[in-house]
Parts: sequence; structure tokens; C-alpha cells
Amino acid sequence: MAENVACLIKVVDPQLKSDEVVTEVRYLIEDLRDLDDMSQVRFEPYSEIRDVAEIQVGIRFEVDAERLGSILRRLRDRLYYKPIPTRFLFQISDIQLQIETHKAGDLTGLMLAARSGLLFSPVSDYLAEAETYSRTQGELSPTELDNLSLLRQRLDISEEVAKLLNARAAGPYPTQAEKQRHFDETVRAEFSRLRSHHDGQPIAPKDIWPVLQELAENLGLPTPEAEALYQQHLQRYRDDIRLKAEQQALKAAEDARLAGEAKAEGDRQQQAQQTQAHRDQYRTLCHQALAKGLYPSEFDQGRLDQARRLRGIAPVDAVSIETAVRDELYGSIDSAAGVNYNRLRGLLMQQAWQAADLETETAILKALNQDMQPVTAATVQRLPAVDLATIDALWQRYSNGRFGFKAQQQVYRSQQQILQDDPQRWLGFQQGLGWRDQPSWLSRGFRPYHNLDFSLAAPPGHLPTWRWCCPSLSHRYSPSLEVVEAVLAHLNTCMPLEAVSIPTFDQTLVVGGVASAS
Amino acid sequence: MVENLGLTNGFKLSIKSLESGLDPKVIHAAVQVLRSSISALSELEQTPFSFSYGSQRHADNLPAAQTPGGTLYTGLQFEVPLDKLTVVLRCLGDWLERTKQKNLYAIEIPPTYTLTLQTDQVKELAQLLPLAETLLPPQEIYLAKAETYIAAFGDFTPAARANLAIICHRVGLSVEEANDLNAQSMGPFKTLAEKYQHFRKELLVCKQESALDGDFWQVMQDKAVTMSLPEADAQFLKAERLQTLRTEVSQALHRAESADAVERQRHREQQQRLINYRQTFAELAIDTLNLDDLGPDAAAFHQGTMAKLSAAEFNRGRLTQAREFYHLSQTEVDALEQAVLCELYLLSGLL
Repeated sequence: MAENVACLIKVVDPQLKSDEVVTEVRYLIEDLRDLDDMSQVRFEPYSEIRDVAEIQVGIRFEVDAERLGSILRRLRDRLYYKPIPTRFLFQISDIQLQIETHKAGDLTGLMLAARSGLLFSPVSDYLAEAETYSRTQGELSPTELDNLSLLRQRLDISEEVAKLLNARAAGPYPTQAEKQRHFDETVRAEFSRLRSHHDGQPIAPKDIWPVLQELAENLGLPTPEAEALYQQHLQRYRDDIRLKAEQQALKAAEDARLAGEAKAEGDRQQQAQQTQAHRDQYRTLCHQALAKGLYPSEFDQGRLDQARRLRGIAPVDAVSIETAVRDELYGSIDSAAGVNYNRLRGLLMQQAWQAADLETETAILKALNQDMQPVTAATVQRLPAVDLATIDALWQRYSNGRFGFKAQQQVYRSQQQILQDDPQRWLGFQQGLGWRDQPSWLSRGFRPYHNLDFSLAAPPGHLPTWRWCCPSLSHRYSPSLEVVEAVLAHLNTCMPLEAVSIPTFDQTLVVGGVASAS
Repeated sequence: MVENLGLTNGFKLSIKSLESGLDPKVIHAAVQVLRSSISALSELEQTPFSFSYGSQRHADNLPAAQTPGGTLYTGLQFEVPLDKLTVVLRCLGDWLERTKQKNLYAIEIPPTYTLTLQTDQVKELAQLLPLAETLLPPQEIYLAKAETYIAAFGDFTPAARANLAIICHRVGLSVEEANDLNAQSMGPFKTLAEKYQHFRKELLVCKQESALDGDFWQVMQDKAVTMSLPEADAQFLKAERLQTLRTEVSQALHRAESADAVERQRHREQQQRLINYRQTFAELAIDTLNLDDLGPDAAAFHQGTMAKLSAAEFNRGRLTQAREFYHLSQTEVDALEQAVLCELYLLSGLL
């Protein structure tokens, strides 16, 4: 059975005169009577006292709800064509609705709702029940749905309409689980947005909870439940931020530590470079000071002394640098036997070949600790390789490779290749070096020491002599073959010869000499 | 957070107890519960309430402190945004379910509609909701809410979008209509990032910290309003610009200080070279000084000392090296050597 709606319509325009109001009311009645099925409706006048006289300012009537839609449409159209301020009063069930307007549009919403039937029994009763259930539990439980189904049957509402009404009451997320899921997804998206801003372009910090709380209320989720969910996400977000901050702090600390270490290393390297630069400068100065001689002039000594002080070089280091430079310029005088080869170097520099030869002999005997004792094949082995190398290098350096032990080794090697037996080889070796003349029936060819050639014109390997290998200090220079053999063997061990070209010497002389000797 | 709406974008709800036979304290307590419930809703915590008090008949049996004008309430009125209608009516439903008291409910949706209902039944109250919702202007409600979010966040956050989707569903707006309204409320820029970019660019005009206040900032605030950039974001960007300007000033100062420091260091090194050479020369001079052989006057002393220094090759070498090492001009060298010799001459007089 359709519900009745009580209506009161009153013209409230203060600009209208009394007779105009009465005319408008009359037209209103005529308009409404003109509607279908309205001829039987009883319009009761609604009067007010105006200017001492009672005039009709409106009408009262009662219609069934089904007609309300068409009545509202007619009223809307009237206002559209003649927007007179009017008060409309509708009693729908227990609800009283008052609309006071001159705008046609203000009646549209009610008109559409009236035509949809949502406002009237039985649909409004069903919707109110569904709305109450949905509000209470946040969803329509199976029991509630069953109750609604029974109510639907009692109110004679179709299943389709009931479904629509249920959907309207429950909202777009009908179950509690769906509401929670949607809320959770939204919170997650919110924190994802905050994370992206935190990692990229920062924005002004704002509290997001009020809008999320609003969402929970709109969804019908209990606020404590929603807040608990929000707090979980918030805690996770804060943990992430804290972790990132800690990681950044750690990285910053590590970077600072590395930078500190790099700086310290840089400083250390700079210090080392400065020290090295000072040493290099001092070395350069040494080169300049020693370029003219084995020992710097007094002026240069002053320069070196001041340079050492200004560059903070320790005296011992300065000596070391100076020695190194001197060795580099004039040859090394290293000795394993503690022999000072300074004098030998000086004599060789001066090309004082004989004096240098005698100094060599003295140095070797000193190295062998054989003061005035004859050298034997056994004692020769004690000559340190370092000392042999020093003597050889000094002789080579100042004779441009003509003299020295290596030159003598090469002569011996060439004899080895030419001559087969030892006696010939030894004779050839001594003749090759210019130490012995060709033997004759009068002489065995030995030359006196003072007749040897102490000049650069002497044969290769002529110097230094091996007088220290002679069994006696007689005038003849005849080294003991046994010792010579030991010396050569020792030289081969200490300074093995590389494959080098054989120095040229007068082979015919050697071969002839050997032949005549034999 | 919610401002007084002045009944333009809001509705007014008044509830008045009709329970004449009930203990006024019970009614008073129920009203207070309702007020708390409404205040607990989002964005309504600052809602102002006005209260109705009991009649004289009620007051006759009450202590003086609780007479009308005292503290016993029989009803309340408040005003909230239109988009809160559903949530508030549901909250009323929950409250009525607990109190089960008969009340007069009046909803005023300005400027046109007034709904009244007397009931103690939850279901009758629930019937108010669909009727009230039909009276709401859908586009205005949606737009007002969208603008509220833009005013707060400058963009539609995921939560804002979710709320707007629910409003859209409830008031029956199409997706196209909602998108149009979103665009309308968002203003000329599509995203908050674009707004930030544009506002930052505009702020670059300001080159000095002092210029960031006053008229310039007033213009920027107007610009923020025009481009729907929230005040908080504008202030954030202002602080950011301020920080940048301060950093630039600080860096410029630092650069100037560094340049000064380099110059000071260079000067210090030059002074140190002079001092070191002076010391070196003094040592050299002292090494060669012979007290028994001092000159009769300063000039003779100077000449004698320099002659000795030049005579000994070793000392000459030291002196030459020292002069080369410190890279001093001849004028500087002469001045320093003269100063040292003068001091030594004066000191020699004391010996």
C-alpha cells in the first residue's frame, strides 16, 4: 500500500502584494489540479493575516507517495518560469522536509529521489534496516542478509531491488575484509609516496593520518582497528628511514675515515716526495760539485754543507749520497776485504799506469792479507769477487776497456780456442798480454818488470800485471803458472765471461813464438 | 582543522532531548557522549558546539549550580561540512542505539532545506540518510572536498583519492565528472612536483635573504594560492631557498676566506724565508766572527765580517747556497745581511 505524503505550499515572497499572492495560489491550485489523478485531491487553503485581512498564502493537501514525483516536477517547472520565493513542506513518514526557495533546481534532487521510490515505504524501510545492519557491523553478515531476505519478502520487494539497496547500504567495499584490504592498500600507497619523496625530491612534511582516519570512517572501519594498521605501516616506514639514516651516517663516517686516511697518505707521500726532492736536489748539487774532480772544492764543500743543513739531510745520508754520486761518476770502490781503493782510482784517473799497477798489487796483497808472503794457488781463492770486480771496473773505466781482468780473460779465451795443449796455451796467453817475448835459444823470453809497457799503447790486457803471482821479486816478470792457472779459474768463477768478440792481437807472433818454444 | 563554515559548504545539525520524564543527568551525560563521539571523527575535533539547557521544570529539583545557565545539557547544535553528512548520521545512529532516548533531530542544509524528525528508533533515524543525501548538491560536495585536499596536500594523495572515490560513489557522480572536478580543483598544474618546480623557479628570482620577505613574499604567497600550492609547501620551499641563499653566502665567504688564507700563507712563507735566511746568515757570520779582530766601527765591522765570509771558500759556498735556496731578491738579501751585521756589531760591544 502506497504511503501518503502531507504537503504544504506557501508563497513567501515579501515583494508580492496580497492580491498577487492570492492570484499565485489560485494558479498553483489550477496547475496541480491539471495533473493526472489530482482532480480528486482536496486542496485546503492556508491563510495568514496580512494588513488586517486574512488572505490565502498557500495550500495544504495530502497525496500518495507515487504522485509526489509528478507534483514536484510541476512545482519545479512553475519556479522555472516564475521564480517566486516559496516554502514547501513535506511530511514523509515521520520526517518533515521544508524547502524554501525560488530556484527550480532546488527541487530536482527530491524529485528524482521521489521518482526512484527510495524515500517511501516499503523501500525506505528496507534500506533503513540494511543501513542499520551495515553501520553496526561494517558489513552485512549472513544472519543479517537472511533477516533482510525475510524483510524483503514481507515488504514485497523484488530481489533485484533488494540487491541494489544492499549495495547502497554496504558501499563500494561490501565486506569487512574488502574494506580492510582497501584501507591497507591505501595506507601502503601513502607510505610508498612518502618513501619516494624521501628518496627523491623532498616535500613539506604533513600528517597523513587525518585523511586515513576519514577513509576508515567513510569505509565504516572501526577507528582503533584502522589506527593499528596505520601504526604498523608508520613503524615500518620509520624503521626504514632510521635504517637509511644509519646507513648514510655509516657511509659518511666511512667516507670521512677514508678521506682522512687518503689525506694522511697524501701528506705522507707529499712529505716523502719533499724528502726525496731534497735528496735529489742535494744529489744534483753533488753531481755539480764532483764533476770537476773526485773531491769537491772548498767552495763546493761549503755549498754542499749549507744545502744539507737547509734541506734537513742527516750528515750520514749526505755522505752516502756523495759517495754514490762519486761512484757513479768515477767508478765504485766497494771492497769486501776492507781495502780502500781510493788511491787506485785516483792514480787511474791520472793515467799513472805503473803507479796504479803497483797500487793494485798492494791492494790485492792487502785483500789476501799476504803481506810480503808469496801468493799460492790456494790463497788466490780468497780474493773476494767484489774486490776483483772493483779493480777490474776501475781499470776498464780509465783505459776505455783496454786493461783489466776481463780483458785478460778474453785473451786467455782466445788462446784456448787457438791452442790445444796447456804449455802452448800458457805461453800464448803471456805473449798475447805482452808479458813475455818469444823464447830463443838464449832466453826463455821473460821480460823484466820495468820493461813492461805502462801506457795505453800496451796490448789489451797488459795491465794490471800479475807480479803478485811471481814466486820471487827478482827482476824477471815470470808469474807462477800454477798460480796464474788458479787466478784465471778464480776469475772465471767470480766474473764469468759472456760471449764477446775476441780482441785482436798478433797471432802470427804468438804461433811463431809457441812453435819456436816447442 | 575544520573552520566555521558559515553554512555555505556545511550543514547544521541540532539534537534536542524530548525525554521529559528522564533524569536530566542521564540526558546531560548522553549529550556529552554525543559531543565526544562527533569530536572524535576525523577533522571534526575542533568543531564548536552550542548547547541547549533544561526547562525550569527540570531545574526546580536541581542544585543551584545545575540550573539553567548552569551545566546540564538537554541538546546540542553544531555545524560540519556537507561531505560529513553520512558519517555524522551514522555516528548519531550508533549513539541512539546506545541511549535509546527520544530526541528531535533537525538538519539544516542551507540555504534551502530543513529536515526534522522526532524519534527514539534507529531505523527511523536511518531513513533520514537517503532523504538528506538526495538534497545534497553532488558536484559542489565533491569539488569542495577535492579543493580541501588540494589546499592541504597540493595534490591528490592515495588516501584523498580513496575518499573522493567513496564520495563519488555515494553522490552518484560519473568518473568523467569527477575527473573534471579534480582538474578544476588542482589548478593549472597537473602534479605537486610541477607546482614545486614552478614555485622553485620563481623563487630563484630572489637573490638575497633579505628580499625573501616583504613584498616579494606577499606576491609569492598570492602565486601559491593561484597555483593551488598549500601554504605549508610554500613555506617549505621558502625555507629551502633561504637555506640555499645562506649556503651560497657561506660558500662565498668561505671562498673569500680561503683566498685570504692563501695570501696570508704566501706572506707567512715569504716572512719565514726572510727569517730563515736571516738566521742562516747570522749562523754563518757568527761562525766566522773573530772577537779579537773586530773593526773600530760598524762599517769596518761589516766590511771585515763580509771579507772573512768571502775569503773562506767554504763559507762563500755556504752563503751562495743559502742565497740561492731562499729565492730572495738582492735588495732583500742586502737588507737582511745589513740588519744581522748591525745586531752582531751591537752585541759584540757587550762582549
